Amino acid sequence: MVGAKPTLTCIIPAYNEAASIRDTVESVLSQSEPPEVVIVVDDGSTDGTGKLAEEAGAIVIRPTTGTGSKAGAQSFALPYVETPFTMVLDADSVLSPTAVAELRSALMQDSEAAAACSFVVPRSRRTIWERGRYVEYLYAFGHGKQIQEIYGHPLISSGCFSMYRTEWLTRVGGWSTRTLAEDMDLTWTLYRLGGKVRFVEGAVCEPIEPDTMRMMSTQLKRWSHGFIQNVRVHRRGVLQRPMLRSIISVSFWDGMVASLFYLTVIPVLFVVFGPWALIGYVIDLPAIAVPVLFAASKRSEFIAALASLPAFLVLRQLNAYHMVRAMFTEFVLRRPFDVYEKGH
Amino acid sequence: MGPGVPGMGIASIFYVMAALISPLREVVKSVRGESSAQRWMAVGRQFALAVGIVSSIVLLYLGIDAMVSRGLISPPDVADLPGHYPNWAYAVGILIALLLALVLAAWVVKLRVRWGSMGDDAEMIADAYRASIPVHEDLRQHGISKGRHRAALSQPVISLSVPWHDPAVTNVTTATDHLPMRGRHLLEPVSA
Repeated sequence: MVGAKPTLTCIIPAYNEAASIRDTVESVLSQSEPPEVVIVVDDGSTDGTGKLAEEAGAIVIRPTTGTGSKAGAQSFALPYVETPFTMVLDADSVLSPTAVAELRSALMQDSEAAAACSFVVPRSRRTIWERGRYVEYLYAFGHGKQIQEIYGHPLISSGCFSMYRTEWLTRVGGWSTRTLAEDMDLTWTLYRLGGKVRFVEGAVCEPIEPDTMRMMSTQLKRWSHGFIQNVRVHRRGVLQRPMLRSIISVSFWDGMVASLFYLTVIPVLFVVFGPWALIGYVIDLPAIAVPVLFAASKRSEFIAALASLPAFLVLRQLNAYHMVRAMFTEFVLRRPFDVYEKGH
Repeated sequence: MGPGVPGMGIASIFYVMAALISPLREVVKSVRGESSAQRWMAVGRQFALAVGIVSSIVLLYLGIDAMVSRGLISPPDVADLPGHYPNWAYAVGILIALLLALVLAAWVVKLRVRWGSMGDDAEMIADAYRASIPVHEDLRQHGISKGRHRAALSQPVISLSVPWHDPAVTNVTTATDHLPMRGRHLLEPVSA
């Protein structure tokens, strides 16, 4: 069919997602250009996730034994994909109506693009943790990621919603479990193999974010270890690509220095100089607020973002704690953390 | 700073600088015919944001300075710091020292890597990655080893006339072998 758009398979890994799977599948099927095939990998759920997904209109496959991770579930589904494009979507996420069409167009327009990813914003903003994440995403996707796209190197094709050329996935075999951040590992591997990644601002994915400190801690622990593990795995390879090298370097050093600064230097300065030192926790808030409020304005959410800014400061401290802990475990104790714990 | 990676400004400085010089880069790309109106809009927006971020920092400094000079707040006594330079000089000095340390660290890492083996052959990268992908027992039974093996990726074989979302086709199954026939047609793993 000359001029036809490449067909697309959507893979949705799911483990006990009964509360959200129906919304997710319906969100995919109601797209302006829905995928031709929607496969839900019911990875050993005990809450009826598979049945709900089937009722919502997806094909459901279930391994006889659990794969144990999101990467495992996605890799399990890959051999069933027969379309030129493949997208992955978290089972707790919904998409803006044209999200699939926009990512598909981005891949079609750029023949060198191996993957495309979207803007991400939390679906709910009820708790302090969701609000903190909301600000974090507005900053990251409204500013940092857009500059990465301008320079041709988005840091990660986010695991919650990304689209790939199937031939690239086939070439690398799927999603690796050698790190706890499978999306970062795949993205950096694609770069090292010569592929490109596109960030499409207009496509929006809305996942459910952790709403309790315990759930957020589980997720941040996985992300912190995953980031450090990927830097270790790819440190030689990414040096070959100057812009990617710079982006990873500043992220790594910023993460390390900031975490130590917040947890050790500021408390020491507080003891030495008094309360003035505490300004270190909020000194960069105006600089963060500018891109956050701009991105929020475009979504008509200015007030919500303004009210959420303090929550970001709290989330950042929790994040710093997990980053320092991950650094100590991975670098000092040399004890890689490899247990995949679901934390949304 | 990004999702899951805390920050205190090092990355922000990098992105602000990248945004501020991006118009120059885009001019070069335009001359080469590699730019577009859409790209220029993105560049212009990020440039404006970078100017806004720098302005907010300057305003913050001016605000604190004004409050200190009017005695509304009293900063800690830094008279013991060497040289008796103005506070902003210490701030700029620390920033420059930090950036230089980062550049030096990156340079050392680069040298170390250059002395060692780069090992960045595409097949080696792909092989190393593939080796860490577990193959589920169900797939092994279908003869699937690492990843999938099919040549004709450009020819989608799924027949779109098949109502794949028909509930009759898509009974939930505990193993692919148990799929009904039409479902099997769609869901048989693609092996060599």
